[in-house]
Amino acid sequence: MSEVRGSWGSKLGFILAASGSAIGLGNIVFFSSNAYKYGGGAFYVPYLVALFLIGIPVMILELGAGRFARRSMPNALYQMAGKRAEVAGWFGALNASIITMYYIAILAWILGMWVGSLGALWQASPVEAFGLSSGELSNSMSYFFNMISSQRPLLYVVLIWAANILIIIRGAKSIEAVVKIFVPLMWVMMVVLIIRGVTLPGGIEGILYLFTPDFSVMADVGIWKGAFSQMFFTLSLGFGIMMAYASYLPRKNDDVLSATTISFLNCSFEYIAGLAIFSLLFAFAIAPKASSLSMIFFVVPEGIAEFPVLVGIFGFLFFTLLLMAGLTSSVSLVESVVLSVIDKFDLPRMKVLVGVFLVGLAGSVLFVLPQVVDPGLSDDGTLGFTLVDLFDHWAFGYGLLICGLFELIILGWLHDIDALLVFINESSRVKLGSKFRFLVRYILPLVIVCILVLSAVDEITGGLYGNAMETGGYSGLHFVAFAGWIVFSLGGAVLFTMLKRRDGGGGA
Amino acid sequence: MKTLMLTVVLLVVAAGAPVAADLDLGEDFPVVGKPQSVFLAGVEDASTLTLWVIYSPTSETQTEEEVGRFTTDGRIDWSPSRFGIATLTARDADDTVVVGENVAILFAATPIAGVLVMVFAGVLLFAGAVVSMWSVLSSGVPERLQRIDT
Repeated sequence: MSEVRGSWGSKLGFILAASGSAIGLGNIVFFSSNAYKYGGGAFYVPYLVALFLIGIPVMILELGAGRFARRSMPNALYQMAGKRAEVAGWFGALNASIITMYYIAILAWILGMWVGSLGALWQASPVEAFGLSSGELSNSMSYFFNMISSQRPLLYVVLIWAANILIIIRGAKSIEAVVKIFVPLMWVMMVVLIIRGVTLPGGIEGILYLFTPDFSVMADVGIWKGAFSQMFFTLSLGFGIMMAYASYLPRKNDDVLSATTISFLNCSFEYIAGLAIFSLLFAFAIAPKASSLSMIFFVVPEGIAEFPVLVGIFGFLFFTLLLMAGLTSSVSLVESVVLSVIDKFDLPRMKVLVGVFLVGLAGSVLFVLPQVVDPGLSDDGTLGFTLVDLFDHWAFGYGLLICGLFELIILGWLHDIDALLVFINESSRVKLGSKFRFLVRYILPLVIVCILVLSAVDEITGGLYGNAMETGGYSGLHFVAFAGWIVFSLGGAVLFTMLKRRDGGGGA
Repeated sequence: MKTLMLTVVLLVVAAGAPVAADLDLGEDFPVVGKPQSVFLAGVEDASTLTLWVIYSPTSETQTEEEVGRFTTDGRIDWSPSRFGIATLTARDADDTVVVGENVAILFAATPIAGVLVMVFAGVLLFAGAVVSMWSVLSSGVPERLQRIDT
């Protein structure tokens, strides 16, 4: 079987698609949550350090490796360092598929809130939820829990999956067409929210809170860990996305410049998202809840509901923005999985899309299961929400960093790093030398190992994540999630590596 | 992603208190180091309740501070010690939250360090994005490559 692989129609298309992938819920939701969680300005300075120390260098490597091998991650790593490396690549791809499944479940809930933003979400009388009477929860919180405990998200999940498949059906070309509209629109909408936020009393002070460093807490290693993890996640590193997108690039591309551009665009968007959200936080004196998702589902809607005028329009704009940001990221997640399968088994794109759609849909349905397991809301409420919480902890919190570490070891040690640097330097204006090689081989792996070890120590001393959760009769759910993540990602990686390759070679 | 546990419980407990209880501040935005009055209304005997402040609630830098007991007419003076979001709670002798209120505490003076970081980061990120984007777009027409997978 032979099939023409697409390519980007323009450099702008690639930059917008890659930045659209990097700019997602992580910028709007997780950045603000982490910035608040770690003390505002105390977080922002380590975050900037992380951009230059880990963000841009790993992005350069992923783009270079994708363009060098012209394959998606598992196949690129196989081509560069053999079967052992391929296992690591499939681990990354399958870990990314778990994230894709619950990311799309979250997008389905956002679609539900978007529907609510057309009216019901902003109604004057508080809505009831979970047996808690009127007025016990804020409107946005009640609406959200009512929605996720109904059957509606099952429909929303199908719609979001269908939208993803439609967008990527023609590969790079169709993705490019969509991001050229969505990405600029996301910027415009965020600017509208900023203007609203800073013109409110207290809005400017909220922004200053985000940037004012508190040196008394900056010595805490947890803050640095949070900043470095955030950088990995926000730039879509460790997912295999950048390698997949780079495999569509022309033979000559300035990877250093591309990586710098994508990273700066992403962090600039995060900057303005921070301005918008922190101005609202302060203007309406809203304390974010412990969950990262609470920022988008409760905090911002509560702020918008307090607007004197145009509540419906601002609410609609906000959830439309979230849908766009989420879709441009989810298509990249789906595309990286699709491309991994196509590259190895040389199957027709449509056949792979159908397969990924069916498996992915089944997984996403699991995450939107509306069964109420905790009516008192002492934990997450429904079985689906609890599963998102548990799987996110492993796939997002550990999986990406482990995959990043594998990449650095494979590219820095198992593959000839000098050959890769020569390849990157051939078409880059800024040349990478021995300092970059030292960074890739020693510093970055050491930083990631430190983060992983510190997290694992917390895990061991505090018990497996989720062991204290209320899950209404589902005992051991936390262990099932942990085991499920390991079996799916690692077990699946070994299985996929063992399956016969049909791409005509290209091995190490 | 952490669970909703802590704050939802706090919120539900606080909201489940007598509907009439209400905490009110003299100013919409308290300022660090500037004393101001906090008023408690809608309870029978305010002097049995204590005012607590949680600075940066649910964050890693959260700290809690006991301000003191309300007077019989439901008043207490409070001088915020940290900037940022804070939750004020009136609690009874059993430490049960009777009523809670979030406030945003402002800086006493414009924080120069914050302004510097904001300007530095803004210039760095946006100038970096513009310059690199311009370089990408001005570096010639890309070679369009159609790779054949076989």
